[in-house]
Amino acid sequence: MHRRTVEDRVVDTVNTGLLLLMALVTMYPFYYLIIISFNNGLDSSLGGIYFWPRAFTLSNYEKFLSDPKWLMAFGVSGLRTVVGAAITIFFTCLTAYGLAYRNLVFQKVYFSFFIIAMYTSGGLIPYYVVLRSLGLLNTFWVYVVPGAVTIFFLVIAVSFFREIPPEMEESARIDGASDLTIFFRMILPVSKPLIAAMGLFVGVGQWNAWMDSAYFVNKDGLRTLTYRMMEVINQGMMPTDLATAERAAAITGVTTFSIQVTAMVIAVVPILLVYPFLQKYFVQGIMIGSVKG
Amino acid sequence: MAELTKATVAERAKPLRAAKRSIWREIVKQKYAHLFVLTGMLIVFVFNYLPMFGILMAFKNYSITSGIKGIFTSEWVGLKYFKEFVGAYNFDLIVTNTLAISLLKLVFTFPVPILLAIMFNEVRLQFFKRFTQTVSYFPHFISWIVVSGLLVIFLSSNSGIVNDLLKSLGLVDNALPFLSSPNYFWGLAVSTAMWKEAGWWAIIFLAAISGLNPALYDAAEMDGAGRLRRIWHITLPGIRGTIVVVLILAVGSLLGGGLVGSNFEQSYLLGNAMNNERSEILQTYAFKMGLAQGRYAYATAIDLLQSIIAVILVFGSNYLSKKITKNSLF
Amino acid sequence: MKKKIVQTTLATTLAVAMLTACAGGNNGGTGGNAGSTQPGAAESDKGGEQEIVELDLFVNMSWWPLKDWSGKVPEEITKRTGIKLNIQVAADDKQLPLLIASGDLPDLVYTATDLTRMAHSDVSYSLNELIAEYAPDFEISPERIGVNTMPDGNFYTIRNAFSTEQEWKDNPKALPGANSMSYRQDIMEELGNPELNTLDDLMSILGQVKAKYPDMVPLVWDKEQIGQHLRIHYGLKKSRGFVDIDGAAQYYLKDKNYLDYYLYMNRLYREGYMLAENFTFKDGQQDDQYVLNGQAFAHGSGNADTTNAQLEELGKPFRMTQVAKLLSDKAAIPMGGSGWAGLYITKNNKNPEAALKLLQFMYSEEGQQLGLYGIEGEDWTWNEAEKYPVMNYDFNNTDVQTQMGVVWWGLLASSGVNEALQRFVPDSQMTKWGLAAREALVFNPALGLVSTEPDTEEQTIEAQIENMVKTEEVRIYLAATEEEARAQYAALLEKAESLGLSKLEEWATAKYKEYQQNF
Repeated sequence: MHRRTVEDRVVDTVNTGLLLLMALVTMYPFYYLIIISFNNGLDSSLGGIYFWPRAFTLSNYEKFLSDPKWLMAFGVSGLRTVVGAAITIFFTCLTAYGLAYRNLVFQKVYFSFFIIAMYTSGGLIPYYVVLRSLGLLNTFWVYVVPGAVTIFFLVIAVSFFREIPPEMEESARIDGASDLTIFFRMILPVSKPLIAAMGLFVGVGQWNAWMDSAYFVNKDGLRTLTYRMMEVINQGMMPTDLATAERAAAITGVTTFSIQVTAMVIAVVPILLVYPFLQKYFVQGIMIGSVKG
Repeated sequence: MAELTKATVAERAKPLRAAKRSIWREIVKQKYAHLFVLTGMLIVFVFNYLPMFGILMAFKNYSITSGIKGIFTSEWVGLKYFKEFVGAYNFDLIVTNTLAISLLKLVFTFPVPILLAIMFNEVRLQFFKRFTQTVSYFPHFISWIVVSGLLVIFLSSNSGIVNDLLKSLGLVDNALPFLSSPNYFWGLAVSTAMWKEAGWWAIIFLAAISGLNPALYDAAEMDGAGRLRRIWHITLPGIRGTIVVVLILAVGSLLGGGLVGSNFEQSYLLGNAMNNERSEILQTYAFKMGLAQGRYAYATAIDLLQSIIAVILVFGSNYLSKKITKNSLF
Repeated sequence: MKKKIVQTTLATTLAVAMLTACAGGNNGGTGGNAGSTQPGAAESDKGGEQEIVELDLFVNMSWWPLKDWSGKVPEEITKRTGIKLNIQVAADDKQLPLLIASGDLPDLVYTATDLTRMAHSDVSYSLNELIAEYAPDFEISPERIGVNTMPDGNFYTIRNAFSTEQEWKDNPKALPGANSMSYRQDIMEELGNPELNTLDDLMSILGQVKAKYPDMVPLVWDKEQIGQHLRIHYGLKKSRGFVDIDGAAQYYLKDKNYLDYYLYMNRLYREGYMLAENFTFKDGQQDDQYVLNGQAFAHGSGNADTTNAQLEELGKPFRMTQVAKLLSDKAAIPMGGSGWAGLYITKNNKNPEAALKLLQFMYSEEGQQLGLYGIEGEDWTWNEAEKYPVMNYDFNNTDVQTQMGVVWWGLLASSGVNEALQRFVPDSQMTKWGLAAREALVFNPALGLVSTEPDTEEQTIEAQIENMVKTEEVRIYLAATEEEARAQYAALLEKAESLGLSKLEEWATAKYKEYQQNF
């Protein structure tokens, strides 16, 4: 149906060229890091590796995966990602739908409330105290409840919801649907791209979070994957003056940089595996498709 | 002279009472919406507003050994920490750097995700589209610590790949001091931020574009609009709401107060004694004098300062946006 | 659609329930929140059958290699004291202040930072009170009590790594961990093995290297320790502290040799013997890269023994030699700090008596040797003739340390000398350097005690000056001419004055005179 004009060809060529360039610039460093993770750390510190590991080894990975606590941590991280994302998406979208309501009374007040909260914080210590008084410390819920509303996406979601044509809502209301039904049956399904984006951002945030696992939890069984990784990374970072003064540094083939890189690769792989499933929502017309169906 | 009879007064009061009644009626009509919002407000209240009692620390001579009680019982010192902060021997330099880096980022880095999203959208081959889009956000997952390690490998004056390349191509005689000269820092900060985050932020805009009606494009094509015109007249206006929203939020973090990008990590990790006059920003200075010394009251004071400025900037740009583009947050 | 939601919710709830149950079972019991540790009912000295007392220890060093109380050394400690520790290692440096402020400190804290904050009556038990009540037989050397005593008259910990001048004298094999320098042996030979006895010799050798090998970096420094080795030869302190000038405590930068040191470093830079980029190093291994690749001649902070092992592993043909003598008569290593880290018994401790007994044991010679060296006879033997412990295992290897649980737990309350004795390995290059460096130790305990307290005005001034120096000092190193270097040094001192240096010095001098009365 589309005729390829000259403009089409030019645009496509330029587009493709630029995107290829971008892909190279973003992919190569990443690829480089993967190679480093499979290369002996001591050898890596010599530099000069570009395309292939020079001294292939799995010892960097062993450092992480040999600890049996890893499986548990993996499970914890996975669970908090799924549960946390679900909770956050639900509450954030619910609130956003309310805020996006046309001619909402007190709208400015509500917005100001959220905006101020977004840029203001009382600090770590009071936050800890609040969590403690709510009994959230040392439980799984400390991972997923405090972030139930993420204000950044609240605001984005509001702007998305405003784009939804009012006619859709009107017709549903005429049919007798309540606000809650409209939310579940119509708004959410139609906002698949938004939810996919939110799921990705929030999910990745949950997956990568380690500070709450450090400060708010001390049961072994509740530690997350990234926390375990930080443990390993920290162990490689003995202050140099101490190492000289107190103990000579151990000689192993694993160096700090290789460890950090390996940790990064391990953390990223699951995300890359999940992402293609979300990607299909970033296709134009998905919203229209659902409505018609 | 009209006589103020009871009847007249009643007549005049009617619109007011009617207005009050109609607001209340509106609220009742919108009751679910308000309920939904209040749910969110409750959560935010508990986890964001309750801890705000810690802000008191900013005005008190607080020491952590006095525990939580100490936040309330320590003596007031007024604006002491703010004065100390502003009295830094290189304060002007710090503010200049912070503003410069944030503004440069805004100007150069903000349009890139939008552009990328549009470019992804225009790709016809599904496989290529998904591939480039996935690859584009890889850098987001590389922590700044690893990035700074990478930058050394690539940009070192001694053995860095880039310098070696430039020298072998004959473009330069001596290695360029990317990492040590202050003159390169701003460029370094902006370009690395762009590289790291553009693909990730593009996702949001891509989601917005996905919500656009394809029928609009068909109609425009029918009318004879070419690719570029379709992008300009349909895609961009279509996501204008999202663009404005993200822009306003980004403006809020101009002086720190961190939403978009992590100025702190860049300056902390890529800054060193040699490029310090261009790399020291409010956040790194506050960190060095505050948390790094365990001075929580000081750190809280500076955070508060940044929060206030951020809120003012957001409200301000929201107002401006409403006037200029008719689009705004609220 | 609804059914799916219900099913998913059910599944998730089940998973979460299982997880929480599992987590409860795995309870490490650390921190003030978990409550499932055994009560400290037993009095550990009563008769044969001891109940094991479990205490939670928070180690405030995120890099601490020993993550739990496992290995033959901890087991032996438990056997001899009846105390078992549940270890929690800090994730970063914000965690301890959080615990202090929130009141959720665990039973014991071992930390090298926030020492004054921990030594507060609201936070920890004072040891003198505990000793009076539970262990009047616990004898501590008066100097140690002195350096750990707080302004309120109590002492709350016994910091490790401290030894008096006499103790150092009595142990000729105790080696200080002084910053070292190594260089390429083969290149030295190619230059004809020139003499290296003075700093001028060093400068000229570097010059020869530069002339003969223009692609090499003559001298590369570790990122944290730029110039530190030279400071030893000039007898200088690094980055903080005070020096005694005519009886008054003045800022360390005013030491009479400091300008000479700066000028020497500046000359190193101007002649091209060291790289400007050295100041941009962020990774602890960037300097190693130059050395291992053979691109550097001399390595500031280099440990020849370690490097040579690495070179061997990489199959490189050259080796490093350690600079093993003092290169100037001004050389001095100022000692006199109060130690490194301390074990604190917090106010939340469920069994202060047991905790005190643990500390008493770790402070005793028996405990120190067990913790630092291992089990006598099995892991080490005492060489009576030379008076040092001979290790039977690779005590520098972190994997071995972790497996045995040795070396690090010894640091809970060890003396500087006992720690130093472990470093003595006859015929190792570092030992040769250590023996030379020993001669440079100078002691001024009163001056070493002068240190600012957190949340005070002096500390703010000191922090501001330190921050400024870190940045501005580079201008001296990288000055284009010697005159400029001098000018920059003067400017540095001026800037420090404008930040309140004289006030700081006034306070320091007063404190110095006060402490001098204790010694």
